[in-house]
Amino acid sequence: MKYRIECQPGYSYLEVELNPGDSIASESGSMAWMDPGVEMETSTRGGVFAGLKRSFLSGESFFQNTYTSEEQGSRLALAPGPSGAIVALELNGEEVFLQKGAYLASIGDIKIDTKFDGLRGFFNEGLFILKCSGTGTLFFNAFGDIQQVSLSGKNVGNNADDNFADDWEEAVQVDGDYTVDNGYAVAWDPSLDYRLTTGRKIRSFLFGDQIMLRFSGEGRVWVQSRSPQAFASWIHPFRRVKSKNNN
Amino acid sequence: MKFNILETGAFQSALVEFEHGEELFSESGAMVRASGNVEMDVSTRSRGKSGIMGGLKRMISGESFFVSTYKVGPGEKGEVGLAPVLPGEMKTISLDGSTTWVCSGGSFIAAGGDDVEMETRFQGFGNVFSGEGLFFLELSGVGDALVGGFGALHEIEVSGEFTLDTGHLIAYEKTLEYKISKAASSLTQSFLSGEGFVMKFEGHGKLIVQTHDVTGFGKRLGPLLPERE
Repeated sequence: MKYRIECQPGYSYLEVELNPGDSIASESGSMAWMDPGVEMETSTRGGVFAGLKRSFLSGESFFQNTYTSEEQGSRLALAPGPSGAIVALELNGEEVFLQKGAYLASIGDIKIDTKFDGLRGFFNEGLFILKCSGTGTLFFNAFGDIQQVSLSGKNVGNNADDNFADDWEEAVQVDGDYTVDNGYAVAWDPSLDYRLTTGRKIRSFLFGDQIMLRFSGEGRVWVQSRSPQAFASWIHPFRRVKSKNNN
Repeated sequence: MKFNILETGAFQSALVEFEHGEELFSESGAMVRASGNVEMDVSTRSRGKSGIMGGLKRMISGESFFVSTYKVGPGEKGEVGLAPVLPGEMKTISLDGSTTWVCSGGSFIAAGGDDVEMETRFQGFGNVFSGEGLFFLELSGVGDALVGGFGALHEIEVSGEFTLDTGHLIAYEKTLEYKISKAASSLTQSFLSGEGFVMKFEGHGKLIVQTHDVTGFGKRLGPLLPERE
């Protein structure tokens, strides 16, 4: 199966060419267009319980769609909800954690499960995050551009290099700490340990400062360049106010 | 201190690299990420005089009450990633000590360098009716400032007179002066045209504008959302 990610990073969508025998699973509602030969099957993938867990606990949809085709070269385009970048990640038996809402599609044998995030997830986006594991290609999406950050602080994003005068290291550096705002962390390696922090000073907590994920260990973090939460709070004051009289 | 703008187009963000002794401060919600050695603090003002009043004024100007400051320990280097809220471009303004830049409320993201001063300036009540904030931020000293807007950002070299619709201002050099005035010759025409008030600039200097009006976008979306309590 061939795939292409078009219109990176602002308005990315994923286009695949399905041949007989190929299949791709996707988040429901992400299909943008397809050839008539493409068949769609909707299921809870992994059973009703897995579906329930996914929808109630992690904010993903209860149903997931699987696309197949009996014809050669049937095209299918999948587009995520937010406008932004799509990352294709090859998994060979590894795991990766995704923030709520970031899953787009997967090819091959990839299991999407929810992971209880414990108390540290209390202030997080949701109590649960997605755990993706298996062998195949995983596609996840972001709001805005996405940059891969290694924990030494070197940026190893695909496109970022063009704008840098310096030489940036290609390889992912390991060891160390890195802080990412809660609204911007999209995905990370499970080898990383993380905890929630506010600023160092207590007053930043008192005055409702941002909540941050502090990663430590070895691994990669994918960071998006816009925050859905910040966008939502920006739009809030523009909403009309409910009139106070109860008549 | 080095300000790098990442990507092109609608979703630009910035990555600032800095060393011990250099002080970086940003609008308090703007931080996306930071290397582990960066020490963050939140204050009403990065340093100096303004204190609580500065915080209050900044809040009215459309910025948040607090400013985040970032530092690293002796001999260390740190990085901080910053982004605006809305889709749009970012731009760095270099402060060379000779010019003062004035930023409209909401466009300021961060500043840093050897010696950057930030002041909040009252703009007069005319600004309230026009939709611009009551206060603008003034940046001077030596270093760099980072601004972000909604849509694309353009730099315009003004020599003489220039008219800018309210809501499109990002920043201007203080060698320019502006007056709020009506868009057309008569008041009725100004309102019928939908332009209302405009800013009439005069002088010689640089002006940075954004292609889209933030309030216009908000007013378009707001009524489509459920009412708030």
